[in-house]
This record gives sequence, C-alpha cells and structure tokens, in this order.
Amino acid sequence: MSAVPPHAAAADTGGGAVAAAAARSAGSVPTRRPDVLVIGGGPAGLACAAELARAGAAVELADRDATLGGVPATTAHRGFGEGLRRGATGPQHAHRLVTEAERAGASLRTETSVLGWADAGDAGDAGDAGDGGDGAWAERATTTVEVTGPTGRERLAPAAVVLATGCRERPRHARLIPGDRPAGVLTTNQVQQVATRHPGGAAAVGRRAVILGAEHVSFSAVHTLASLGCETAALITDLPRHQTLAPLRLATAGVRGVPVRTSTRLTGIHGHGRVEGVTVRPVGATRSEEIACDTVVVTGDWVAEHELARRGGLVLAASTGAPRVDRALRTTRPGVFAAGNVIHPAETAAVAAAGGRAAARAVAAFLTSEAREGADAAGAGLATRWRTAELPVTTAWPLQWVAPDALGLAGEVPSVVDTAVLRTAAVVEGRLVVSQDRRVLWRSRRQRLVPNRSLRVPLPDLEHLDPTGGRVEVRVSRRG
Amino acid sequence: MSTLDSAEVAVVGAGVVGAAIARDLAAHGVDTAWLEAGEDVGAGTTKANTAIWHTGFDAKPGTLEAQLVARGYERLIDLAPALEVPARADGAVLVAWDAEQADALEGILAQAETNGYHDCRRLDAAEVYAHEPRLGAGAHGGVLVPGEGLLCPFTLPLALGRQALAGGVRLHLRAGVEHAPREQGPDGRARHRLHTSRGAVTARYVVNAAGLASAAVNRLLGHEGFTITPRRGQLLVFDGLARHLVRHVILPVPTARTKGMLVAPTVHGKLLVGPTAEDLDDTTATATTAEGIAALTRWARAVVPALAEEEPIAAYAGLRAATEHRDYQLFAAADEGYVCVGGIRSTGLSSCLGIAEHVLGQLAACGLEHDAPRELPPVRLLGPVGASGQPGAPPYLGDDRPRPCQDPAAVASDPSYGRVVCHCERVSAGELHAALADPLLPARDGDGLRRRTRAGQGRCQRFHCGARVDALLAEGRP
Repeated sequence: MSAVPPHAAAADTGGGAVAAAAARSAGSVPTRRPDVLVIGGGPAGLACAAELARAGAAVELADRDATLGGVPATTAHRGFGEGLRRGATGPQHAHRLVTEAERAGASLRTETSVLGWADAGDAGDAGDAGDGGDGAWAERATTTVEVTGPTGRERLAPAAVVLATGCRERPRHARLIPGDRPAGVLTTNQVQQVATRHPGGAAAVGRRAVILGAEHVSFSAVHTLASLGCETAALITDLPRHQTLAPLRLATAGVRGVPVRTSTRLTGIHGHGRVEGVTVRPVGATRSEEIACDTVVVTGDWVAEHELARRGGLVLAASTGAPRVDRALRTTRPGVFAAGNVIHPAETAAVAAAGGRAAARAVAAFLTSEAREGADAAGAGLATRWRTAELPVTTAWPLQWVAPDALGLAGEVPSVVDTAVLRTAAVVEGRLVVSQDRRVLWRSRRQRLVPNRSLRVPLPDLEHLDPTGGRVEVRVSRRG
Repeated sequence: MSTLDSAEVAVVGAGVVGAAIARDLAAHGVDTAWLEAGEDVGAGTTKANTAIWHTGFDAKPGTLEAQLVARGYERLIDLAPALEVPARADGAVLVAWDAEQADALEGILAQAETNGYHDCRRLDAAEVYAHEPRLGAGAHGGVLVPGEGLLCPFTLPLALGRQALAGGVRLHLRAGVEHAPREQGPDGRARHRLHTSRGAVTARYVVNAAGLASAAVNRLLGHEGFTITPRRGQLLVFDGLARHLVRHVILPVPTARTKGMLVAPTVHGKLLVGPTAEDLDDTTATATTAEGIAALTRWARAVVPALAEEEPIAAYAGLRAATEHRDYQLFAAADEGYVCVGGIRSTGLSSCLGIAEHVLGQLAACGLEHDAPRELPPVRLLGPVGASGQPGAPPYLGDDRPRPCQDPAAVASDPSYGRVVCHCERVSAGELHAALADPLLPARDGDGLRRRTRAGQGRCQRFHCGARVDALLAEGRP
C-alpha cells in the first residue's frame, strides 16, 4: 500500500486557492468556531455529531445535499438499522439518525458545501476573534475550511474536523469500459435517487438493463430497477461467483429469473443517443456476445469520496483513495479525524454509524486532553503529538486494503477501534493472519474469503507489539 | 414543401466554424439563416477535440490552414475576453523522446519561422525537465512554444452563436439539408433552395460549413473535389486532482499524418491525453475502443508517470473531418454564390475566426454586399461574476475564476448560486437555471447542459447529481 502524494496547493482550482482569493477580493467572509465540524451527514457523520453533542461539544455538521441521511436516505429497501431495529427502510433509518443528532443538540446544516481548506496564509487568521457560534475549545482551532451555501460564504475554524464524506460507486470510465457514450449508463445511486427523490429523472431509466457487478448493491439495483418498471437482462461479474448473500440474491435476481453471468467481462457499450446494447465476453474466451438493453447500471466497486482529504494533503491509501487513519481514527493531518465509508468503502450503514460514534469518543478525548494540558495553539505542539503514521498495517495479495491502516502510537487519544475491516480481491480459501515481523499475533479459522464482502481482523494491542519492530501485516495463509 | 426561412446567406452547419461565420455575418449586418442538422450548436466534431488553442507554428507552410490558424489565433486574443471564452496561452513543450526525434527539432523550429511564428525556443533535456518536472524519463530535448494555449471547446461555439443570434441571425436546429436545387427568385435572380426536414430555406448565397457532412453537402450543391475520411481521435480525461502534474501542453514530435498524442491541461482544470488517429469510413463511429484506451493509458504513464496513480474520469472520441488533401477545402463558386468550407480537420477551434474572415471576403467576391463591421453586444455572464447580472446568461467555465458558488457576491445576490447541485464541478442550481432559461441558446438535453455548465463532467460521473439534473431538465427549470 503506497501513499498518494498530496495535492499541490498551487493548482488547487476546485476549492482552496481560487475560492480563497474570491473571498478575499469580496471583503470579509465571516468565520465561526464550533468545537467540531463534522463533514458529511450520512450515518457516520450523524452518529458522530449526536455522540459529540451528547458529550457537550459545540458540534456542527455540514452536508452538501438538501437532505440529510446520506446514501440510506435514497435507498428504499429494508434492512437498515442495528440490533432489533434492522427492519427499517433507508429513509426511515436516516430519519432516525437525524432525529437522534438533532435531539442531542448538534447543529445540522444542509446544502452546505465545504469547498476546501484555507491555505497557510488563511490559517493564520484563525487566531482572530470569531464571529459567533464559538465553542468552548474554539480558541484552539486546528484548521480552517471554506464553506458555501445558499446563505453565503463562510469560514469554519473548529478545534477538530471529522471527515465523514462517504463513498461512491466507481463510474464507467474509471473502469475503462470502451464504446459509445449514450444516455442510459447509470450508477445504482442514480437509479435509487430516481426511485426515492427525483422521479422527474425517470427518463434515464429504461425498460431493460444490464447490471455490471454482482455484489450486494448490484442485487439491490435489480430490485430498484424493477420498482421503476425496468427488467434486468443479466448481472455481469468478472469474478467466478456472485459476492452477495444467498437470501439477497434469491429475493432479487432469483425470483425474477435474472441470470448472473460470472467470469464475464463487459467489453463494450453501444448506442447512439440511447444505449442499445452491450458486448460481454467470458474471461479467457475470444468470442463475444451481444446483449440488447437500453440501460446499463454500473454498480459497486466503491471508491472513497476523498476530494477534501486529498486537497487537505492527507496521506491516502492507493487502493481505495481512503485517508489513512489509525485506531483513534486520526488522519495524518493534525486535528482531522475520519470515519465511516470514506475509510472503508463500503460497509453497511450500521458499521458506518458505529465508526462515527467511535470517532466521537476519540474527538472528545482529544478536546479534553488539549484542555487539560492547556495546550499551545495549533501548530507544532499538536503536530508532534499527532503521530498517526506510526506502525502501519499493510495487506498482501489477494487482500486489497485494510482500515484502519495504521495503529498509531499511544498518546492522549485512546484507541477507539479494536477491529479492522478488509477486503480480498479474489475468491480464496484460507486463514486470515495478523503478524509483525513474521511473528503471528492472530489467526482466523479457515474460511472462504469472497471479494466485496466485509472481512474483519482484531487489531493487536500495543503491548503485544514490538514498538521498534516493522509493520503489522494482514495476509491469507492457505495452509493448515 | 413549406418555406422555413428566406435569407441573403444560408450557413450550413453549427459547429465552431459555422458559428464564427454566422457571427461575422451578423457583425456585418447580413441577413442570415443558420442551419444545423443536429440538436445544438457545437455538438458535433467541435465538442470532442483536444481543446488546444493552436498558434499554427507546426502547420504545413504555405497552406491556407497555416494562414487561417495564425489569423484565427490573433483574432481570438481580442475576442476571447469579450466572448467570455476561457482561453489561456500557457505554452507548449514539444518533447523529443529519442535521438531521431531530437534531430527533427531544428526542422520544427525552421518550420515555425516559415509560418511566421518567431517565439519558439530550443530546450535541452535539462530545460525540458525544468519546465515539466513531472515528465517521465527519456526526454532528449524539446521546443518551447510559448503561445500555444488552451481553449474551452464548449463555450467558444456557444458564445459565437449567442453573438450571432443577438445580431439577428436566425438559427434552425434539426434542419439537415437534403436537396439543394437552384431556382429563380421572385426578383428574377437565381438563388439556392435548401430542402431540409423542417422546410425549405431560400438564400442567394450558401456557405457550407457542415464538418463531417461537408463533402455530402458539397455534392448536393453540385460540386466534387474532396471526400471526407473521418479520422477518429480517442481521448482520456483525468480528474482535476491530477491537474497540477502538468504545466504546459506536452506535445510529441509530429509525424506526416498526425500531430500525435499530447498531454494537456484543460481550461476546466483537468488533464487530457490524446488523441489517437484512426482513419474510418463511418461518420458516426464515435466509440472508444479497448485498444485506444490502452494506448492512451500507456502514453499517459510514459509522459507523466504519476498518472499511473490516477483514475480517468472520462473517455470520448471525436471525428476529425480529414480529406485526401493536405489543406482545408475552402473555395468559392462565384457565379453560384457558393462558398465551401470543408475538410477543417483538427484545427477548426483555433482557425474558426480566421476562416470566418476569409469566407466574408469570398462572399464579397461572389457579390454579397454588406455593411461595415459593427460592434456586437458582448456575451454577458450570469450574476455579478460577470459584469451584468443579465438573467439567462451562461456561467464562465474556466478554472481561473471562482465558480459562482465560491463568489460571496454572487451568492449574496442570489442564494441559488450557493445551492450546489454538481459537487465535483461545483455547479449551482442558479447556473443550471440560467442555462435552461437562456433566451438565445438554451440547453435542451443533459449533454447540452453539461457543455454550458460543466454539470456531470466531474469524477463521480453523475453518481450524485444525475437524477436531480435529469429531473431539472424534464421540468425545464430548477
């Protein structure tokens, strides 16, 4: 796992430099100083904001959409929630999380886009008096972000930031699928938004779809498409088997007789104006086959929504683009935490929410430890205690990624995550093994590992590790 | 067949070349009908090119193309600000990747001099890397072309078209020419009668700027002399987060057939790689291919190794209107009142204003009488980002100014500019509304909306905004 170099501020055209210049030229942009800014109002962000508000922090949550709740808010099917409440629909679950955060006293803002991080010159302004809304720890703002929304431009200078920006499906061109560029090539989320929020966009969904992918969300897409009057001709996956659970497959594709074409690649999309069909080819075969359809839904293959992380110079994991975090969910940028599907694209809403709550505990500890120490203002003092890149956790083929991907050294912030989430790229039988310098720390039972399904390993306690030793590795052992 | 329009001049084709001609005719007060077979202005070959503002330094000396690219470049220096067209002369670095290519550099410098372009400078390998620190290993040297630049291929035809319409030109979309007989007009003089799917257009003079269809339209008007072999160019776009990897347009040493594949920033703040050059016989074959994408990916990684870490966000293909000749097919049949503007293969974006000036001269030689040029109303941008705040005007698409959502004054003037719909490209509801409500050239489909606002053009490829934008389109308003 290698690090992606941080984005150069000089070429920052999307949020930082140009936006900051605009703000300067237009005179004063108000600055506010909540204790914590949570960016993203999906399950992770909402749960985090609720927990922090309960702990007494002045927490503000900014979501760029008009509706809170993240992906669940646009997902009509059931199965959301935790424990006994697992029967909720996505919007019901989202509503519950929003209500919880509101009742706890978090300030929730919609249509609020975080444009970028104020550059170094702007960060110096954080020492000035705020324009209201200051929290108790506001005098130790660690970072400043530029925000816009219908009520105007603003700067927020919180003592801590939690990135909960979630993830998205990898779109068609990032998968290098050649062919025409007709209308009717969609992602699952676009179909879900048509079904739940924007029925006016229904023309994008046709009558007969081919779905690329055979993971959980792909089968969910079969269901959503059917609700819009669109049948599914086939699901296509280049893996040797589907990657969902048998009951979900049965309830969606199974009952409708939709074939799952395994070990098959989508090699072309055709149509002028509108999709007319796709070309598929079995892996290793030379002969292709045409499937007529007017819609292609490109599903899953999740990537972190990492623009802000990248613009902020955070170290990212190359495989997912997710920001590196340690088990206090600290990123490599002092004062900035990350939780939810931006660090593990994609887990269930329940897992994301649990991550948000875990991050809240780390943030609360961070705020109070700073207060206890009467810490110096943002900058060097903090940076030296913010040692998240220590003790990286890596994966070896066929494992793709692991999150958290660092352990971090013990400090004033407690460990809030005791298990790591990971993925395999290939179907394989074996044991998951956690080791440091070939010393085995943990070994799972023998199991079949399937891509796109959640896998877990316990994170080793620091006392079991050699602090001067090498990286912690997660791998698959096929023996024994 | 019913008569759709009757005009002094009919311009066939609403690509960037037709738009520039229509705009200049409007500036000279000529009664003009403007015909387009497709659904929008600038939606054919024009929209799918490399978005480079060519100086013409590398054109074939002595050709009309060399002359008109240079003239078009010059005219756009003055017009781009008035048209609010993103255009930047960031310069190009032409790189020789082996000794043989390095030997060709002196010839390229000499050619530029012959073409009247005197700013080129030879770079040794160290200077090449000083100009482009992220360049891959193996550069043997290069040539700096300070004037080469970047243009917005979406805004230019639309802005020219808006000025033409504001100046009185009548645009007829979905009006492809099917027959083109000559007839006698009511005044006893001969004129053209262009039969289209929407009715007939009569005109004393016809300008054929039909791009890929220019050879077919030429035949309908009774002329021969060239055929169009569509030359497909596939291109790959990388996200704005990779924009910082490159400072200039990075050109290869051209071959006899093609300028080769470049790596270039775009005025929208992205990185472009391409084009391939494949001769085809189908004027609708705008599909990308696995081989093409693989070649583009290889080239991208060879030129800028850090691009191996980046995901492309779009791949597309355009067809250049190449002919069997090595120059534009620009000629007049004076006694028929016909000017042909064919074979404008890959340089039309840069040369269009040079072509338009030349065509006006040709029409005058055919007998067209026109007024002295007058000033056309400037293209106004929406809100306080531009000067006027005129409703229904397009947003500025370049990355050298803040988007309306980033501009405190714009948001203060209208909260809908702070309501971001397309998050990747930071396009607000206010801009989408302006593009849909534009009284001159409103967006009518998702692609038209994208070319006017950049909505849906970013890394998520409509994951977040697609359904909402489609719903706005269906309603015709935000």
